[in-house]
Amino acid sequence: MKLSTVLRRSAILPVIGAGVLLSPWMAANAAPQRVEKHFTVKGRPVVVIRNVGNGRIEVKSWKNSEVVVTGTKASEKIAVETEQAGDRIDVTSSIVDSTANAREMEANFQLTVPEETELQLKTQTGLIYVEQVTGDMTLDSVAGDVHLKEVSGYIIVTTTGGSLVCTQCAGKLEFSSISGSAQVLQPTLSNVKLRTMTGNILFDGDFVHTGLYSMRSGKGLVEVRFSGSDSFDLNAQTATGTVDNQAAQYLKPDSHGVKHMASKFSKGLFGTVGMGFAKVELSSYSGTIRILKRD
Amino acid sequence: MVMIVVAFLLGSQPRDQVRQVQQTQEDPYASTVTVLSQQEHDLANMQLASTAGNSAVDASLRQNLEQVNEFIADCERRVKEEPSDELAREYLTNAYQQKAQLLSAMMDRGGSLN
Repeated sequence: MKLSTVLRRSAILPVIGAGVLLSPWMAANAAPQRVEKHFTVKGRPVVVIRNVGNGRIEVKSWKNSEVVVTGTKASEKIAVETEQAGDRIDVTSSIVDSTANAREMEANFQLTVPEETELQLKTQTGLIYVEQVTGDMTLDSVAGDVHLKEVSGYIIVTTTGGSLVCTQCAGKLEFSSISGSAQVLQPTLSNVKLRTMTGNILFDGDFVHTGLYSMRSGKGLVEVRFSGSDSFDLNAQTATGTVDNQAAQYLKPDSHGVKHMASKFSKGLFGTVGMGFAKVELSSYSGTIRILKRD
Repeated sequence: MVMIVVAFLLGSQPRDQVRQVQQTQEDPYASTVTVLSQQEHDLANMQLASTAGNSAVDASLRQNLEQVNEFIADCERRVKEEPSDELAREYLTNAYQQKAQLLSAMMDRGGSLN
């Protein structure tokens, strides 16, 4: 057992009587184990999952004031602990045997949470899937993809190689990755910041008035599909890539009196669609930036 | 730790200083590159000494490190050819930061698995 775990336990155990419950998942055999835990909450819960093993995390919501955690772990070489302190619920997996192979380190989690819940989820591989949850969320993955559907809040997604698909998301979204791609579909997001080094970016949806949208890919494609009723200022720049403007008839010179010019080292496209209420900044180092109007 | 050092090195180059360095044709990123190279070297030694490191996660991390290094090499070439290309410099700076974060994550992982 790692020292940090021992310390954490020694600090937690004396206060169990004060409302903290710590529960390791035990099992007698090495077969995959399934465990279900129920946690009653009063307000908006904060659910933290830190999965040092591999595996999938799936979160759905319901109208009950209860968090249900269902998990399976592949072997005894990985331990899973749950802990509740008021409305905070922690689920942590840890490797108890360093000889464990990737398969033995697998732990999958399924959560059912109240509609308004804050999430902090971290896994190594395997999908992170969140549906119909409102609340701030921080989602981290190395190689696993992140799929979000009908979520809202301040959403921060960080991956190394995993990709993001965000469908009907609302609020604010930040995505950062090295080789992962990002697809943002039918959003109602007022603030978007997407960064990837070699992945692609697709934004297909409306721009909220006064919204700020910044999308950058080092080598990948940055594609924006807007609607005829959209209103935004556009600033698109690439160092050695190309700008593919398929919406020239909608793009007018900037109407706000600010004259933009690309530097002599880069290619740029500046203009306004509609009244220019939102601000859209697109950038790529060597990839293609494509702007088109949806059918 | 490496992230803090790299952030400091990248952040401690005001524009005037960068211009001055450009004029003297020195490499403003030299110290950053040195720190990152050393860290990468340490990481390679750590991985050689470790029995772990063969999982899909480790493979993904290594693959991404290769991609970051390729991208950095590309940006470095561009910045060398066109030292005043601000956009290329911006991408290069961000790439160094991402490399620092990635190396930190790999070191942490190596440490926790050993």
